[in-house]
Amino acid sequence: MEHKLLSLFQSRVQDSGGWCEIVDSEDEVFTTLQKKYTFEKEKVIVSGRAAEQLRASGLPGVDIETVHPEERRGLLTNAKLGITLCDGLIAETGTVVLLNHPSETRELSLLPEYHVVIAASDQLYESLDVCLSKIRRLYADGLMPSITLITGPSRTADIEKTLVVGVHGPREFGVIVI
Amino acid sequence: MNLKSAQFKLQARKAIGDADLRIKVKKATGTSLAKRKQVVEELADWEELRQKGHELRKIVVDNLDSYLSQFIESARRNGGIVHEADDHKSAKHIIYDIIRRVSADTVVKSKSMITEELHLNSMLEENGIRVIETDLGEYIVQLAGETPSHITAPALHKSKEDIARLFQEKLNMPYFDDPAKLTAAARERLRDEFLHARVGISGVNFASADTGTLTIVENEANARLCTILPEVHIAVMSVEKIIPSFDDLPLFLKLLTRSATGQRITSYVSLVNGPRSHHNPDGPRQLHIVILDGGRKRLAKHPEWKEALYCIRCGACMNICPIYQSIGGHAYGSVYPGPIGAVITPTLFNMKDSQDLPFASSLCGACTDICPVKIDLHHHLLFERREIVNRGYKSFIEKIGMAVWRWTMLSSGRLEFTGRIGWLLRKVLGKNMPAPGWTPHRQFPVIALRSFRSLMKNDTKYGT
Ligand code: SF4
Repeated sequence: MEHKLLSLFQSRVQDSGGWCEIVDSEDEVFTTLQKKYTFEKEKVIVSGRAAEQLRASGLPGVDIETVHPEERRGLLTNAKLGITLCDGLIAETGTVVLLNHPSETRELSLLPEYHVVIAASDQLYESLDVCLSKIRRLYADGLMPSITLITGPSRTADIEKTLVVGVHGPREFGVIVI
Repeated sequence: MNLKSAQFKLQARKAIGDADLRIKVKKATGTSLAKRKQVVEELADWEELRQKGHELRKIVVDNLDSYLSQFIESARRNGGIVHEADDHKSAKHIIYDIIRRVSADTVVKSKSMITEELHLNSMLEENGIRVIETDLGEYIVQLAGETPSHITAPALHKSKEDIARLFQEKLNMPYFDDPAKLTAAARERLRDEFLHARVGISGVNFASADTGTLTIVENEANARLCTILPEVHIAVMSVEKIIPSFDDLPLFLKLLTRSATGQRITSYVSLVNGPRSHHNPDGPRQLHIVILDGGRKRLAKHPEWKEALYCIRCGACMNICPIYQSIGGHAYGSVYPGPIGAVITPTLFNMKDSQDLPFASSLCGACTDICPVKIDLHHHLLFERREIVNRGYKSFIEKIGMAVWRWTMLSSGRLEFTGRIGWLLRKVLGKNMPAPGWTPHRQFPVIALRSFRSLMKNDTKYGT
């Protein structure tokens, strides 16, 4: 069952113009990224919580927490790749759910040219309903952070309904599921 | 609102004569419909979802005041600053005031039909504030000095060649008509504006009463840039954008995105739960929510017309409408074109000036069949026609004509007789037989000597 959901998720991400790699362990994240992108390390910005998780197996870029808050936006604007974790994967639509965590600014998934999400297979939900109600329960007695649902790269069809990928947000979007 | 619907007939006639426009509109609406069909058909329970959506919208509109106060309370708890505006004028004032207080001279804006309805941009520009539309379609339309012709695809009436010429002229760029290159040019020009603007304005697709969550649906990421980067975010919505609960979002997202663009979900859906705080570490310092009534509370009390407020602005009824397909959006002369525009413009704004819109329909019912929240659009068009006649907006000649028609139709003998006369006239005058409003563009069809009814009665082949 889980396997079926995972392959549905993968194909839906691809349908929406993104890529999705499934790897066996954290150790493979670094090599997968290396295979895809050859950016200098300074051009790759990693969210605080992603950096924490990846540090042991190889940090692919700069941990944003180590950058002075006032310099972060400038850095992200010039960055090639932003790397974040996520809080849920939706199989039905190929969507990644991101909560606005203190160590993971939303600008990371917005300003760099590419955005890659590192996820775990146990974060997979069949539909958005289940995932959102779980998030809501989690914050039942407090304020909820803002939530972003991301499906594929930014796109438009405003000119003659021709699909163009990469408008104001990332040109490319990928998910690595461990 | 600045309505140009009074000249509908003239505008429609001009649009019909524009073969180029028709090709562009047909192509765009056809593409949207095909994509929609695919993703709707894969859901076995689409009809139940529509019904559920209809019921939830009805609950909100029937109890608008209490949902509104619940939403306001939740939004304030989240740290938002809520402003209620009774009419267009006060909404514009509130928005201008917020911008003035932070001494901003530039505003970045993402798509919002309510701000179109307010004619917000021209008011702000008159007061020395630069407004930059950042949705690609809106950007194109703004550069051209036009208004959107479709609620989800504002530049649907423009070909890539039109846009290439526009960019060449307004942005001093070489001519290229490749959509990817044109898009890249817009991206490059707008990036800096996003980074420097201190105020961002957005619309709202859904506002959940129980959690105060604002949901913004988009594909380009321009709405995210407008609502995350600037210091101040002004979200503009009308009262009926409210849905009962956060838990209803998945349903409405499904109904909206599948109907609008034929996507299972759009690239981005932002669920905004307040301004910057410990819970929302990045994002604007202030979140202002401007809620416009603009006649909607009055409409919500009308037993029939309240249904128009169920609309979630997907634009599918425009795409499927044979009239819209033939004339495009501008001819309607209202911010809201197509079937829902023809329903809502007379009831919400000005019935006298938009009295022709409900007649711009073949009453085929395609809009009702496609509407994701099951608004009975074509019946509303019919009800409004009745109201327009009752209010005496129709000319004396037309009234006499209708009376004669009624008199004829009430007796089979008179109907039969009129048919014969028609046959005779057609025979004598040929295909040039004049019929005002019809024959200048079409030939008069041949009329059969014997009516279908008399054939049915006399011919054993058909008779019983
Ligand atoms: S009336 Fe229905 S079909 Fe038309 S825009 Fe509104 S929700 Fe969509």
